[in-house]
Amino acid sequence: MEDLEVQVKELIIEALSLEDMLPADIDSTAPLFGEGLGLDSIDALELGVALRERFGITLRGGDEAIRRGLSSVRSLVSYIKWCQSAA
Amino acid sequence: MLNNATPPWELLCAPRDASTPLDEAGEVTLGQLRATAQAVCDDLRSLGEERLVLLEIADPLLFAAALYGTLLAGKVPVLKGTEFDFRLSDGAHGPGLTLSVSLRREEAGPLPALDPAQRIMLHTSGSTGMPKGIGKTLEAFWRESEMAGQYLSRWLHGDEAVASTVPPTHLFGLTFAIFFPLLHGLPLRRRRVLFPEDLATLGGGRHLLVSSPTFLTHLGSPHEGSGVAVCLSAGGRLGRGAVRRAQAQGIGELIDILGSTETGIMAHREAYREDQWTWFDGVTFDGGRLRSALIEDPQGFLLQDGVRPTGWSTFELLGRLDRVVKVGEIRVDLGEVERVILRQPGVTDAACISVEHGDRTMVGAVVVLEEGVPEGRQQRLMAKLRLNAALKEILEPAALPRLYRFVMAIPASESGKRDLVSLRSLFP
Repeated sequence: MEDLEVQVKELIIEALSLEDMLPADIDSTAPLFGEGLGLDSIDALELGVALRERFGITLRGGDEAIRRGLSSVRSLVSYIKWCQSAA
Repeated sequence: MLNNATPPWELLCAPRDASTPLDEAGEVTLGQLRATAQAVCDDLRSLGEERLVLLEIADPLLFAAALYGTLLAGKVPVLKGTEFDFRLSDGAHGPGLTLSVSLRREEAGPLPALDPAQRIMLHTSGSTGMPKGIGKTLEAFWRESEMAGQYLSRWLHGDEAVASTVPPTHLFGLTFAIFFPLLHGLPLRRRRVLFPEDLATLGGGRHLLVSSPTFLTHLGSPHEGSGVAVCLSAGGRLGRGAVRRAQAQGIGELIDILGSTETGIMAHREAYREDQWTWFDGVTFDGGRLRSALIEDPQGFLLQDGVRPTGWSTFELLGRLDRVVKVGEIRVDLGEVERVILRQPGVTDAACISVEHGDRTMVGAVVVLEEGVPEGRQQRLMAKLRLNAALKEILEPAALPRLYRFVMAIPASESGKRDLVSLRSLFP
């Protein structure tokens, strides 16, 4: 598994208190919200704060890119990379 | 100065100029809202006699058009629920007959008036501790907007744009992010504020922000909240941390609103200055019963919260008397979650409590399985995922237990009552 992908999964597990989960238990392509991990809107806010603190990226909800970025671990990883390269 | 509230049943029939803009950016006019409502009405009428119409629309003005179209067709809008005949959606398709709604470009003239007694259904299922089918009349929404407007006019100039972190499908969102601005003639901001960073995009001008404790608790710094002249929060009392963060963000005035689905708004609190609540004008509380113009039952509403009066119109809230807790802004009936868990195959007993985790409240479930206590991380995870997959079909996301503990027996006292202290100690 890609390094950043593992880091993002660890961040999700820690920030959202997903007990007993290991990075390998999270499907990189499964939706994070609704189906899949079944996260909710509070989780989205928590995740936003954690992403800001860890990777220094900010989420702006109006941006369609964000909605797509939060759709799975893999797209989140590519969004983080994009933000970092644009910074 | 804030205008008096137009009655909602007259909003689209008033002889106002069709080109009146309704949103902050001036993109959508009153005439377009009328034309879209008329189109929704025609579509719904052509579908048949069934009446319950679920609204799943994020854009506040498109939501308002769908709401009015539904009412105009003589049908009943449903905000949230599992029982409905049709769904009006702004995109994603789901179960049931779904109509996709979009804003019309053309403008239309005044539409027929609605009946003040027409109702909006707030829920049609009992999965979060709500009784089935609570309906609220247009007249009640109007009285509520008037009541709120009278109180808020000490801060609002009447030129604020209304932005929201709360979707229109939540009652507080419908009341304050849809009806309040439309009835008082305040422009709406169409794009929802989803993350704290979005506050910096509000730009110039004064804003009224409709928000919640969950959102305000997540405010970071140094984001820019100075465009927010007044922020309303409802769904649970604001904690000190959230109040401090809002102040540090430069949010002008922070008003905590106490209300419920059954009673509408009840009391307010200036969160920067006041610890105690003040009843809205016209609200009385006596013998555990709340009476106001928003409550139809002349006997009043039996409040499920403990209230300790501190003055003629002020009081402290002592918390729920039953087992309903707030997770985010959602009411979750722990008893109901337990009952749903107990219905799952392989489960012999279950107890749920609310667990504070940092700033967040979660549902913790203590479960006894037929197979005994799952050994090891993998087995625990499997058991937990299996339960949540089944529960997800019945309960709202907020009601899903986030933390599970599997035990041989639910801790109980000698008399058989659940031992709350032991239950709590399972979630250190």
